[in-house]
Amino acid sequence: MSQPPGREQEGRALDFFGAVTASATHEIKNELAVINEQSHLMLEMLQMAAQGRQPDPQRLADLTGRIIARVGQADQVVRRLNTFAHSAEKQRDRCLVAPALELIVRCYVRLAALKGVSLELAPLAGRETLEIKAPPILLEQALWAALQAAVAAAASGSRLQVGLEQAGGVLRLRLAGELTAPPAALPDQVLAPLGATARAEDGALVLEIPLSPPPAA
Amino acid sequence: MRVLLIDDEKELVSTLSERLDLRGIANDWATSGEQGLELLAAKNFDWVVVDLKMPGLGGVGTIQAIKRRQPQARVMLLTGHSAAEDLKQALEMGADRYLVKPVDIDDLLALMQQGRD
Repeated sequence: MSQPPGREQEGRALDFFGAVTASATHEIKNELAVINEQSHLMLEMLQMAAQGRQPDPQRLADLTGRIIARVGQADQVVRRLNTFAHSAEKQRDRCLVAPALELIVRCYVRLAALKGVSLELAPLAGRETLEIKAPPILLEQALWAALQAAVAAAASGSRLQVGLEQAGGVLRLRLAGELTAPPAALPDQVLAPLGATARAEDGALVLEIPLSPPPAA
Repeated sequence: MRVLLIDDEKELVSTLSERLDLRGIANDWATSGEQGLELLAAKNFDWVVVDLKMPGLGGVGTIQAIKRRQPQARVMLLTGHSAAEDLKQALEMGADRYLVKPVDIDDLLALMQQGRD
C-alpha cells in the first residue's frame, strides 16, 4: 500500500536518522569494547603484581596510552553524533555545505569500510562559506543517500573520492571511484525537497543541488 | 582447549588473546574471516570466536566457512548490538553461542565451558 508523499518523506528521514545513530553508536560501542579489554588486562597485570609477578612497565604504559587514545576516538564519535542531532532539532533554513559534507562523510566511513571501500574527501579549502538555502538535515540526507548508492556500486578494495564544486547557482557533488555497476537511483523523496538531481557520469555519481531550491521544491 | 579469535578490531582481539594467555588458554587471533580460515586450515580449534560485523567475508560468511571446514569447532558470535535479525541469521548459520560486546571474559569462558559439557 502506498503512503502519502509527506509520510514517505518522514519515513525516509526517520530511516536516515536511525541509520546514522545506529552506526555511530556501533562505533562508540566498539571503542568501549576495546577500552574494556585493555583496562581489564591492566587490572589483571596489577593483580599479578600484587602476587609477586612484576608486570612489564613498558606494557602498562603502552596500554594506558592506548586507552587514552581510544577515549579520544570515542569522544570524536560522540561529538559527531551530537553535531548531527543538533542539525535536525531546529527549523533552520540555511546550511553551510562543507561542514555538513565533512560530517556525513565521517559518519559513513565505517559503513563504507564494511564493504571494503575507503572514502576520501577532497580538500574543501575555499568552499567554507558555501551555503545552501535549505534545512541542514535535508542536505545531509541527500549526501547520505548519494554515499549509499556510490558505495554500493563501488568495487571492494577501492577508494571513493568525494569532491565538492560550485558551478553558478548549483552545488555539484561528485563521488568518483571504481564503480562496478551504475549507482542506484536516489529516492525522489530525498531529492525533491532540495530540487536536486542525481546521475551517473564517467564512472562517478554526480549530485547537483541548487543553492536556492525553488519554493515549490 | 584451543581458541581462535577473529575480529577486525586488532587492539580488541590482541588484548583478548593476551588475557586468555594469562589464563593459560591456548589461542590464536586473526583480524579478518579470510585470515582466520587460513589459521583454521593449519590447526584444530575447540572454539572460534567471531565478530559479526567485519569487512570482506563478514561474520556470517566466516561462520559458514568454519562449519564447512571444521564442523566440530564450536562458534561463539560476538556482536556490538544484539540486533535480532543479525543474530537470528548467525545462529541459523551455525553459531553455537553469542555474546554482546563489551566481552566479560568470565561469561565467555563460562559459555565455552557449558558448550563442552
